[in-house]
Amino acid sequence: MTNNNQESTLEFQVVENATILPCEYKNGKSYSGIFDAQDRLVPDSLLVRKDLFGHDKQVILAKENYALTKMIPQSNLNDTYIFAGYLTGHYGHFLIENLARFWYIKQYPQLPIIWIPFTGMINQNFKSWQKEIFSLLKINNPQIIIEKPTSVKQLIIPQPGCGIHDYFYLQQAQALIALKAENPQKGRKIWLSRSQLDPKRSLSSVDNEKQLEQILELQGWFIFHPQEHSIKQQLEMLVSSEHIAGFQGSAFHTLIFLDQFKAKINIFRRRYLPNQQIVNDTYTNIAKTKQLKQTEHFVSQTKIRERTQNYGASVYLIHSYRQIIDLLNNED
Amino acid sequence: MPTNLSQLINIIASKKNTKNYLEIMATDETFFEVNIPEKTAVNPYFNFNKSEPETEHIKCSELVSDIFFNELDQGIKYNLICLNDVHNFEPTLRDFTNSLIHSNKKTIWVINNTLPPDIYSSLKDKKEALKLAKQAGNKQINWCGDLYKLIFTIHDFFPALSYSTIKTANTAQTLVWYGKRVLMPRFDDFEQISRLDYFTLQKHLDLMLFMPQPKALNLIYKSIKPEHFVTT
Repeated sequence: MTNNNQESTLEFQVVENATILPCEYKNGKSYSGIFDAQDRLVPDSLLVRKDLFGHDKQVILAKENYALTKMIPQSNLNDTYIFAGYLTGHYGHFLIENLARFWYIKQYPQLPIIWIPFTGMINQNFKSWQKEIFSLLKINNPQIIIEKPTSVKQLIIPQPGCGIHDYFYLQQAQALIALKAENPQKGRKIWLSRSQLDPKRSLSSVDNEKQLEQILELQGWFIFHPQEHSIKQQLEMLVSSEHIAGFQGSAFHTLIFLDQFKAKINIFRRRYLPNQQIVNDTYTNIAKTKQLKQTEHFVSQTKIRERTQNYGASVYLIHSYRQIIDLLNNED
Repeated sequence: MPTNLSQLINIIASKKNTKNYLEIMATDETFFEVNIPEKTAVNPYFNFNKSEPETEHIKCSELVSDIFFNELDQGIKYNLICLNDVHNFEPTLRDFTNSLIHSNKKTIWVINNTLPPDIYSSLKDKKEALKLAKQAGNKQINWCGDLYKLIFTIHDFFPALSYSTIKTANTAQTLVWYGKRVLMPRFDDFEQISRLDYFTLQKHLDLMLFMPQPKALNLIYKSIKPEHFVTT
């Protein structure tokens, strides 16, 4: 898929007598897929991400040997359904990947939608914040979570409207608008904090963010911990802000729900990649399509802990607070 | 206006003819008042414009101390080291051990904020401390954090160092210097020290080795150990 943030029209395909295989985790990889009546894989049914340097990373692989073993569907759905994607409980991935087909789903509120739970999501219901997002977006389609091989009489597979580090279509952006932004209130500066996220559950953290926040507070910034608030409360906090900033994180993706957002946005990268050229990036793609006034910065930092299974997050140490404060003050 | 801290540093510097000085988490009110020919200030966010005081002999490094020490030439040694606006045990312990590599046998450390005046001031998290103090009707506190644990750590795990603590109006400053003590650990358990609270601190206040400033300075000048631990 080429980087296309703007006007192109998204497409969909209809698969008759499709077979859906649930996600299976084997040897560190996830396997799943949707197959047509001739047992051929539908490539758009898999999940592909790009990394920051433009390389493809196949996240969901085709369930191997399906055509040979001819797994018998254990359930039949005799109607028309829309494939929504691979359901995950991670906030950022839910917003970018799970809502990626909502540009189509919103047009057909009467059609039921189908989710394949991502590895580790089996037997889980929707999280409260996911239900809240469906409600904000006025999504009332019946929803089905597939946990065993299932045949579907007619399955519509819309092209994803956005992809990690890849593209964010205008059509998708418009489908996700839940609230019109208000005029920015002078002096309303919000720091989207990651300092109180559970390190075991987040991907990365900044070791000295709390100390930085003490200085930011003295400079008039409000330190906001999004995970402590409902999505509605988060939008209320952001909707009339003049300036928002923080370390790169999913909280910035919440802006996809706002229309005509005028605030200045500063995103500080958590990684320092002095010798690597970023090709494409989710935050930039969203900002381009939504015409956000967003700037991204690299500040000096050192990775002081690698991400591990026991601890969770990678931890970074910011070298100087001055660099961040000066960059923010230059924007005000 | 010289502070208690800068006055104390200047007294030591003048008596010991100190040539160079390192201040971790430096503040303008202390750093500018210290009269030592070569000075280095470290703070990730100075409360002054760092280019103003900088000269060939005065350096201001606007970095977190971990990175400062990481980049510091191992051959550089300081005669007087002040851990000033520090409040938390673990990062200050790291500063302290980092600074040992940049010390010589005559180096003296001054560690600020080693005695919290009340329970609120002893909490690790400043925001939490201020919030709870306010709830209890205390409008202002002198937040020191849990730095007192560093003194207990020095007591139990650094028997090659001597120390004494001087009380001030709102807190205390601990002086540390090279001088062997008999090892008589009180806790002998790093985890136990790490989990100490204000009330346990009160039970073990004797470990702070409080003494009046003249007596503490006299110990340093003579480089003898506090009488509690006279050995060898």
